[in-house]
Amino acid sequence: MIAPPRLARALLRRLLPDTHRDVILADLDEEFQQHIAPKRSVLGARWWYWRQAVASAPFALRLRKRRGVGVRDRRRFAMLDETLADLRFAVRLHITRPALLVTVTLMLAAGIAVTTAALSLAHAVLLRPLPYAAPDQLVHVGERDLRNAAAAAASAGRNMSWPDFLDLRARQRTFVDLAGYSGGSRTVIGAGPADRLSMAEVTDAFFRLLGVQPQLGRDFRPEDSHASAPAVVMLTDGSWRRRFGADPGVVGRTITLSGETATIVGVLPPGFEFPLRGLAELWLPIRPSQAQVERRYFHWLSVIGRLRPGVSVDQATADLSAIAAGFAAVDPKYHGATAASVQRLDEFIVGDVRQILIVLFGAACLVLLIACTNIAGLLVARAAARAREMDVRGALGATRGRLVRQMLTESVALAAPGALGGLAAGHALLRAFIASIPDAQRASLPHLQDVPLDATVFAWVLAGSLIAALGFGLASAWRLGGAASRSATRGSLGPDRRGARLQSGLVVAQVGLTLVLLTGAGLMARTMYGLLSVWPGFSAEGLLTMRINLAGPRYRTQDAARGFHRDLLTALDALPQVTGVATISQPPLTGLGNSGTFAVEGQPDVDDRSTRIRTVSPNYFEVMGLPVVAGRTFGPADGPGTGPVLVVNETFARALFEGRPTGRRIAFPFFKGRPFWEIIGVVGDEQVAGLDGPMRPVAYFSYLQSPDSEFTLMARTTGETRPVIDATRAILADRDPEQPLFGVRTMPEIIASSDAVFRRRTMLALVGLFASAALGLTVVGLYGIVSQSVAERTREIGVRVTLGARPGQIVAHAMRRGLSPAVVGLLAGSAGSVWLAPSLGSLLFGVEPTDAATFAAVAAILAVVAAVACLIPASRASRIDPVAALRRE
Amino acid sequence: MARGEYLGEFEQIVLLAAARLENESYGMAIRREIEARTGRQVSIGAVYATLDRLEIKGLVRPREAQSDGRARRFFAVTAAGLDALEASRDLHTRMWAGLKLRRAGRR
Repeated sequence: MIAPPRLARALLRRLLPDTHRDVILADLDEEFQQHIAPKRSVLGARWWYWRQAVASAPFALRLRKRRGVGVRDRRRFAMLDETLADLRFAVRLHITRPALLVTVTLMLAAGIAVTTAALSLAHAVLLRPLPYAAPDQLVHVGERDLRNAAAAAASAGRNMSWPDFLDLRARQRTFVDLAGYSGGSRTVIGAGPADRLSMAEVTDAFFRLLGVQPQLGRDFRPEDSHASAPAVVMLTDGSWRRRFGADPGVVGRTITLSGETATIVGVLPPGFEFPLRGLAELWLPIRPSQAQVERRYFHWLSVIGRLRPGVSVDQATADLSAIAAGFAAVDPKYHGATAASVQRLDEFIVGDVRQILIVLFGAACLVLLIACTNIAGLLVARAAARAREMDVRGALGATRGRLVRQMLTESVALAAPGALGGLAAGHALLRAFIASIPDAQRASLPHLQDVPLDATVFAWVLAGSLIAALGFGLASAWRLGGAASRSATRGSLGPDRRGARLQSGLVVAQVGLTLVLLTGAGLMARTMYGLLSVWPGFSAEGLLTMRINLAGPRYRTQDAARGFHRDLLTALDALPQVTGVATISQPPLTGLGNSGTFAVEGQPDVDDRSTRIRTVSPNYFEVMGLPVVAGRTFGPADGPGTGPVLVVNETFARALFEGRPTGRRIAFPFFKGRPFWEIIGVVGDEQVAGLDGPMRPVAYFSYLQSPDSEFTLMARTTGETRPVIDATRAILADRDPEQPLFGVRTMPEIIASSDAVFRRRTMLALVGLFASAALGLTVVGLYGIVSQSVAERTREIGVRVTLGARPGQIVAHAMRRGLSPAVVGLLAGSAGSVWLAPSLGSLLFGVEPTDAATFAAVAAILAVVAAVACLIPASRASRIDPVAALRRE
Repeated sequence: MARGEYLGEFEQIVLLAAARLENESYGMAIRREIEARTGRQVSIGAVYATLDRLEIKGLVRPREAQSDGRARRFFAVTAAGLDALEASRDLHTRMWAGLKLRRAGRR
């Protein structure tokens, strides 16, 4: 049997008198069951029960009054009755004069909405534990190169080589286990149309370490990682549903992954996420290549670990560092002085987004605070207007407590719609905001796929708005403090002092808080301006990027890859909308990418220098517009049969060869036989990682001498990009239908969704939004206080005009009421901004947190806006007709 | 019932429902009878509050009894209650006698 709603029943039970309680509840229970029966609708029956309980409540009180109850009880019920009466009165009052209700509801809803949304977001990302077993024990493990300070800073938490990982895993004593993961993508055939999917490779203990079990099939086993083992793959729940229609018989089926047949052995559970490989749909066991097994200088494996119970991060660091220190003896060339770095996994994942969320939350709280001070200001003014009503009621015998209680009830009734509306709006805001985050960024943070407005957040907001409501009520009640003494002096010239002081205080707070928000918005605007004026080395206009990965047996030989590459470029170049097309292994502004250490000819044979590495088609520099600074770029003669040559960028030349690298020869350890590559020219810098990073040394190889299966087409286009994309797909399908085109993005899109720009643009948009909301609220507040002051002083102003005051003097006098606290607020706000701006920290770019120009400009804007907000109502004072004013009262 | 004091509308409805239900007249049955006949939503609280008032006026008499395995409070209409209902019907009849309602006609 289904029980009726507990809360409704308990409420009714408390309200009903003993004489009727059991009988009425039993009647309701009986009919509740009958309501379920016909349509079996529990929800409908519960709704019915609630309606009955609520509608019966006043009658229950009536029954209680009529049927003698105890004295104490009677007093309590008298109070309840009075409160209900107050509530009815308040609702009627607010409905008949809706201006205040509407204003308060809008302000409160806006404040609560942004706070709820920001709090929910911060709660999901920062506070909710990662969705793994005992997530507190999980850490990220990296290496640190201690040979010098620069290397240590650059290498903090760097990846490991396979031999390093095996050594650490075998000899550590502080971990339950260590597991490795790596990423990439594969061309998939057999799961819908050929597609390029993001994947992750993991060691066999990975899922056991996280405490994740597949919902279908089996986990990876140690033998899956053997080089000769048949390929197996696990799907994420999303991939299983999207690409296999949630087919329960999917385990055992095979798909083709970049030319290799792999068996699906399992499906990961719904809700599984690993933000460090957030977009991965395919999970494969790592089968390290021969080179990866042998080369200790290949730092490619990311490592996580589960600490033994009771082991601290410091102990684990010490344990692993002791082992890593021993690597120098085995491999002095690449592991001169190696230590381990261990960091909590949740902190590693969230990284510097933590700071963004905290700033956002802080800004949202400021908006709520401003909204609350504004509402408090309105209520104080309102209390002043109703002082006479209260005086009369006091004179008729209402106690102070009774009047305060009425004000409180009215405040709650006033705040309730705003609180509810804010909750709903906050929910919508949160949804919209999360939807606006690019996929890659959303997947890289925990819990963002489904952020609920959870119970904790709901409770906080409810408590917050209740405190706010009671605060308003108390503020207005406090305003009544002088009621009795004032009634004697009513009708005199001056407005009441205590209320005026309170209002001034609120204006100071509002202006100050608004200035803080405006300063934040100003600094972010300067940052965005600075960031978008960074010249990345090339023009992003009309630049289209499309990726290709030549998978499958057809392209095993370098000649085949070269042939395909040449053929494709020729075909694309012939398209009328394409003015030039080149390829690069990884487009600029998309991350650091590959790097390599190298030795210099004629110097000790130590690979102690490092550079970023890109492989480009010979015409890349021309298509991108990178100037040739010295020497030459790749010519038609630089092919597979001629001497190996390199082009480097200016930063490379400056940092590593005192600006004159041409003709020097360098050797990288990863080429067979370690040939020397001759530097034939220097080109202008382009930004590899992101707009906010420094220029880095880059060495460019020619695709003709160092072909690879994966490359990105960089096409300079005119007009629409769509025809170019379609034409490229057609060309590709014509050559080889099993090669999907992926990563299709224009350079402006890449820039807009890059971490550097997206995070700051989001901050600018949100802080800007908050700041404008704050500014609007402050204008309303200032306008209100000055017009109220003018209204209160009509008589005084009349007297002044009669005595010969000029209109200018009258206006100035009236404005002072709003402007003096505003000036104090500006000073307080400037101090607050100096104190708070550094919390923007690394979000700022090209501007100091205490940038004087920004501070001055923002303060000036606020001062002007405040002056206008005061001037409009103040100018009304000069138009007061002294005769009419004096005749009043 | 004092002279000149008439039943309120809802009192009358509750009393009529109780009279109709005879031996089955407990709170929830009365509530449902009213909903079924008038088509209006009625809360159980309103029904009991009204029955309580009617009881104080002496128009109904409550009786606790077991039925369907639980305690129920049945309400019997007293003689005074029947008188009141009849008085109320007579009043209506007298007021209606010979009356033809004329609506303001359209021009």
